[in-house]
Amino acid sequence: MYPHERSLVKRLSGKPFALLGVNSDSDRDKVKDVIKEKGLTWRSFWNGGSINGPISTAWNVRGWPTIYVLDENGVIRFQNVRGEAMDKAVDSLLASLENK
Amino acid sequence: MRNRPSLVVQALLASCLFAAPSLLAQQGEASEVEAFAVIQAEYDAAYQQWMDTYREVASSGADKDVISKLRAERPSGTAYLDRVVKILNAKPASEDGASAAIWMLGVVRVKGAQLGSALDVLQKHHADSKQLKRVMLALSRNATPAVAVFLEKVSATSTSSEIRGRTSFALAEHFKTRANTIRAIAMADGKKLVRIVGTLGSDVVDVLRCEDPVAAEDNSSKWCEAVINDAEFAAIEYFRGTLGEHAERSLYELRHLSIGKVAPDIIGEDIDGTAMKLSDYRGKVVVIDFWGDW
Repeated sequence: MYPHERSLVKRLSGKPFALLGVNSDSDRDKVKDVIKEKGLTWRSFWNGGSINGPISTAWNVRGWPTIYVLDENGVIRFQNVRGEAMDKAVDSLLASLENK
Repeated sequence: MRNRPSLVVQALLASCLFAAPSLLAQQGEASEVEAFAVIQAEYDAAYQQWMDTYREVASSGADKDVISKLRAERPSGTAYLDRVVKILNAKPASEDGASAAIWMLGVVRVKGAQLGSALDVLQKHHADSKQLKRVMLALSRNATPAVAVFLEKVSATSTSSEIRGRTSFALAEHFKTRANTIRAIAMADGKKLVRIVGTLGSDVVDVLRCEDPVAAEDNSSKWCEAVINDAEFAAIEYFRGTLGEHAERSLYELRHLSIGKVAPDIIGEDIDGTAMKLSDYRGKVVVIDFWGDW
């Protein structure tokens, strides 16, 4: 997960793109260490320290990781795309945004 | 009926007693179909044995390849399938017939003609059976259109309101699975497509390829509402809650968290405690990753 997301974020720097995490770990300091260690340059929401936190509950998340891809209007366009499929999904949305 | 040859067949058998050993053999077989419990016990024993070995090896700190090889050796129901099908065909109306069909759908996840005959047996002979409950989850996760036809028939004909309620919710879940599968097929690369075809069969994949995921989602909403609006259905206990609660959650997901809907805003803070909002990122393509370092 981390290496793929790192390279996606790096490749798309300067583009109208953002990767946002919603983290459900229980220990905030540990998450900070992970972020530093693994070089995660993107921001994450804090889900209250639990997989049953307010954000994952509001989004009915029942499995991890769960992925949503939104277009520039905040419309959900893809769900649970990973690896190459995530790249393809994001690239297609960026391409149609740039052609507008 | 298969157990009891007609008079004509009996007469034929009598006259061909020596000339037709194969007919005799068939008759003998049909009347001696084994009990489902025998197969179940064999499978359970094989599974237990595998589980014990797996636990032992996994906890001994063996390397990843050994463990993943062992994981692949998990006993599959397929090895017992021929015997189970024999029970299904020989005594469809019996409790064993129901067990056989449920096994085929739940453990082996049969497709094609076998899926058809298992559903057929359940619908014809067991539409009121308590056993049906055990197969609902497997059917909810099966995108095959024949599953919807089966569930619709049962929900219209079962005399048990619990079965009708549970089939209604299974329909809601089935159509959600179906919408996701239709989209997955449209996006699938070669390898992924092979996997989907392996699960559903190429006939079903060809049918789903022509279906509209939004129509499937509309059907899912309709069945959620059918559960929510029927007080009896809504009160049925289901996975640490009621069917009504589960249907409400599914309906919310369909209205706000499915493809084509504006995502609900997230207003919160980041790991450092700095305020952040999802809507601040409008104008950008956004990937949201629900993650944890576990």
